[in-house]
Amino acid sequence: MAAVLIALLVQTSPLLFTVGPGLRVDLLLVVVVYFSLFWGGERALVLGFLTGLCQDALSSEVLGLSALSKSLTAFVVHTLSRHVQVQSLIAQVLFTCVAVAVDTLARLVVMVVFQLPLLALSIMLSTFVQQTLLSLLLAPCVCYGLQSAMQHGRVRQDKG
Amino acid sequence: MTVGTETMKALTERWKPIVLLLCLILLALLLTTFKTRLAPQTSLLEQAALSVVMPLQQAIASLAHRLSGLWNGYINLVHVRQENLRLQRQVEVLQGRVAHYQEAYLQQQRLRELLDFRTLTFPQAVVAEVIGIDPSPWSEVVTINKGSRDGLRKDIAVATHQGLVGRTIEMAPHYATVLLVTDRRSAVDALIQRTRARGIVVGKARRLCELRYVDLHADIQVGDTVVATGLGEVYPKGLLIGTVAAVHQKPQGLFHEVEVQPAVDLAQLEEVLALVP
Repeated sequence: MAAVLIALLVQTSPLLFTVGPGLRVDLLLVVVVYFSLFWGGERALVLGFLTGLCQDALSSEVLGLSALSKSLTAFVVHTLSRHVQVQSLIAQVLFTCVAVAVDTLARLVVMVVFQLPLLALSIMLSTFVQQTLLSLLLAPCVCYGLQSAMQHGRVRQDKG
Repeated sequence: MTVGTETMKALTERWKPIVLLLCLILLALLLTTFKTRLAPQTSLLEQAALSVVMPLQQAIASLAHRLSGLWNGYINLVHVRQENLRLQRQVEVLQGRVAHYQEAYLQQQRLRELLDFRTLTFPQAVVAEVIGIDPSPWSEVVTINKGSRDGLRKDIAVATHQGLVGRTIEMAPHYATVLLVTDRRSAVDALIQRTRARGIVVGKARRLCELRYVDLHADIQVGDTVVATGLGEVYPKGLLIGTVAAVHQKPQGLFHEVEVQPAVDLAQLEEVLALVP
């Protein structure tokens, strides 16, 4: 949960995270992808749901939107990764790409069903492509950082 | 019996994640339904989340401002002398202009009193600092460090000296969220200052807006100023929204397609004014 809180703080900071005109990376999604690859199915699902709920609580988007999309993303990533070597960086980057697609699609479906305001299709597509590219760039750093933090935590636990 | 139990166990293990996912999706949909249909006002959860996270965010913003001040004030002093001389000359020119405008302003005040117009002043305006942005990459929303305890309420226009920024949409005791004019959910009744052609400025994301429903016969040119009409009593009449960046005229259709560049640089927002009426 510390990783989720740090990602949330970074993602809500206006100073640190605006890359281009109105473009930001969903860092929370990258964190959810990592834990979906390395944790059990149920834990990843609950983490995805809670992460999305925290994002919704701080966001102006409707409550439940990110919770749904991130729990679905966690499920899809975990299911697809069961027969893949997830230690590989390439696999982690590819799953991040899949996660952005699933997350965007899930949000789009919910917004259409609940008749919420949508962006123009051309803008949505270009934003999705740029989001994917930025997430692919960030994913290796985030995954490496989380992996190191988890290993460090395990070593301290063993010593303790 | 043992084989049967093991088979049951395997089936349970296989279906548990799927059942859990369906339960979570149902819960998320219930929350969404509750929020959109039954209780669209700010919920306690959102207020609590703002109140917990934003103090940390404010501390980070404050630290970043100090470091930025230290860098700009003491370390990054290249070309300061030339810049200083250039600014001194500019100040002399501007002082002359200020005297001229002061005279024009006094004259305008007198004319307004004569014609019994209301003036565009906001004695209750509240200065606020931008301390956070929306964590959703699909929203153009910022958080400011003033809330209901500072006299703010929902649907108050927020601006800078350059022009319109947006309006408040959610309130907490010490924080508020501001929907920027470039967000897809923003809509401002507007007109072209030169020709008085009416339309609605709608957010288009990527820091751009669109002026919709402008009659095809209306005269619009690139560079025209777009201001608020004051309808709806949210945005004050005459408040600058932006300038026309592009006009696309389709052979068929009833309206122009007009792109509007906001007057305020929304990427550099630091302090804003909440225009409490």
